[in-house]
Amino acid sequence: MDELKIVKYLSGELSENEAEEVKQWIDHAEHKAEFEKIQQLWNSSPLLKDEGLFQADLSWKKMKLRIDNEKVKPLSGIFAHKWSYAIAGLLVILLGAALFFKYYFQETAPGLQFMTQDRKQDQPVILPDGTRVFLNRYTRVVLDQDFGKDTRTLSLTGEAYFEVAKDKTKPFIIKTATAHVKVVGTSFNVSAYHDQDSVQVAVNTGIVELYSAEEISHKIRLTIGKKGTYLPKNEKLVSNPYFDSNIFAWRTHQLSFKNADLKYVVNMLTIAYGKDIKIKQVKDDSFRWNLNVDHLELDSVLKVIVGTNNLKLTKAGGSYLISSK
Amino acid sequence: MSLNLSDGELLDQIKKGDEKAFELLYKAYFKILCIYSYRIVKSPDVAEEIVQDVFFHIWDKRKSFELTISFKSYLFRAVHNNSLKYLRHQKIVSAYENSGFFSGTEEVTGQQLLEEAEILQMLHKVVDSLPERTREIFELNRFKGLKYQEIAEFLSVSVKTVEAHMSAVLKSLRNGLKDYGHFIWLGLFLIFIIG
Repeated sequence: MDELKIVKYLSGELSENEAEEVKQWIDHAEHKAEFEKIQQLWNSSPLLKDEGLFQADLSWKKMKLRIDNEKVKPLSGIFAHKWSYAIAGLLVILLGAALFFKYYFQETAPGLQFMTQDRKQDQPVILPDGTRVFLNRYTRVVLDQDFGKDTRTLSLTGEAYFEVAKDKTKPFIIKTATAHVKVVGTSFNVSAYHDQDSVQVAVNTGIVELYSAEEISHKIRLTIGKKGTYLPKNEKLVSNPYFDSNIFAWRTHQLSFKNADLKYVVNMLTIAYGKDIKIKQVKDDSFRWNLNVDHLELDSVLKVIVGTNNLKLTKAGGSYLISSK
Repeated sequence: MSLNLSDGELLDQIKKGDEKAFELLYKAYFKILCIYSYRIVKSPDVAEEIVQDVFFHIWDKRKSFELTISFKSYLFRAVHNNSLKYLRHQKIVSAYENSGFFSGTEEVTGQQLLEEAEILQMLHKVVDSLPERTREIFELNRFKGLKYQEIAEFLSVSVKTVEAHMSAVLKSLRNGLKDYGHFIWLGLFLIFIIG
C-alpha cells in the first residue's frame, strides 16, 4: 500500500471504494498495530496547534528569576528601624531596560525583593523606611543589604511608582542598569522608557539628582517641572522642561491625547495597558486624535480609535493589530 | 558534538544544585507540558503557571526529591493533577470531562498518562522536524481542516504537490514511530544538545 493512499485515507480524501481497499489492508494483522499508532498520532496532531503560545526561552527567564529569588538571604534588623510617616508627595517612575523580562511576583522575605509578573500591583509595597512603592507589570525591586543603614538604596528593573518617605539623613537612591537617581530634596517623578534606551526623570517638586551608574560625578540636578534624560549609549545627560503626564497612565488609568498621531497614541496605550498593539499597513497616518481616556477598557479605547479614522482592529490572542480597512 | 544525558542523569545533577541541568529539562519538557495542561485549563497563562509551579517544586525540593516512577511520568502526572486541581477550583471540571479530549477524568492510570505523554512528545518532535513547506501544508490540513484541493488553491500549487507533502508527513510519522520504539526500548529519553 503506498503512503499517499494511507495519508489520503487519514485525511478523508478517498472515495468510498478506495477507502474500503485501505481498510482491508489495515485489517491485516501485520499492518494493524502500526496503523493504529499512526492514527492515534494523526488524531492528536491538532494539539500542536497551540504550540506557539508557549515560549520556552521566555518562560525559563521567569523561572530563573524564581530560582534566584530563592537564593537571596533574608535581611535582619531592618524592621527595627523606626521610620518617619512623614511621607512627602514624591512620585517616581522608573522603567529599566529589562522590561522584556516577565517577572514573577512573589513576596518572599518581605522587604527584600518584590516582583510582579503580567499584572501590576494595586496595593503598594511598603518598604522598611515607610516608602510606598507601586509596581507595574514585569517589575522587580531589590533592596540593598544595607538599606536604611546610611542610605536607602534599591535596584529596579521594570517600572514602579515611588512615594518616598522623608528622611534627610538617609538619601534615597534608585539604581537602574545604566543610571542612578538620588532624592535630594522632597518630591519628584522619574521615568525611563525601555524603547528609548534611556532613563528619564521628571520632577514635580524638590530637587533630584540623576547620574550615570558608572561615573557618579557625571550628573545633573533637576528642579520643578524639569525632565532629565540619560542616554547610556553616548553617556549624555540632558535637561528640558517637558513633562508628559501620560507616562503615569498605568497607575492613574487616565490618558490625554491632544493632536496626537497614531504612533504616539499606540505607544502610550501599549505602555499604559501592557498589551502588544501593532500598526500595520496604515496608508494614511495624517489623522490626529484629541481624546481623553479615563478608566476605560483597552478594547473600548481601540474601538474608538479605529472608528474615528476608518481603520480596522484585529485581535489575536493577547495582541492587537491596527490596519487600514 | 552532541551530549546525551538521560533524564535520570540530569536529575542527579539537579540534586547537586546544577542549574544548567535544570534549564535543560525545563526547556525540553516545557512546551509539551504546557500544551497538555492548556487542553485542560484552556488558558495559556494558567497552563504555563502550572508547569512552572511543578518545576519550581522540583527545584525547591531538589535535595530530598525522590522518584519511584520515571521523571516523564512524574511531570505529566503532576501537571495533570495540578491542572485538574485548578479546574476544581474553577468548578468547571464537569464541563471538561464532557469535552472528550484525551481521557479527561481524574481516574487516569499511569499507563494512559505515559502513553499520552509519549504521543505528544513524539508528535512534537516529528512535526518540528518537517521542512517548512511540508509543515505548512500539514497544518493547513490538520489545524484548519482544509481539503487537499483547497490547500492547492490557497498556496497556488498543484494537488499533486500537496499530496507529495502529505505523503512525506506520513513517512516522517512512520519513521518517528520506529525511532520512538527504540527510545522506549532503551527506556531513555535523550536530550540532544548540538555543541
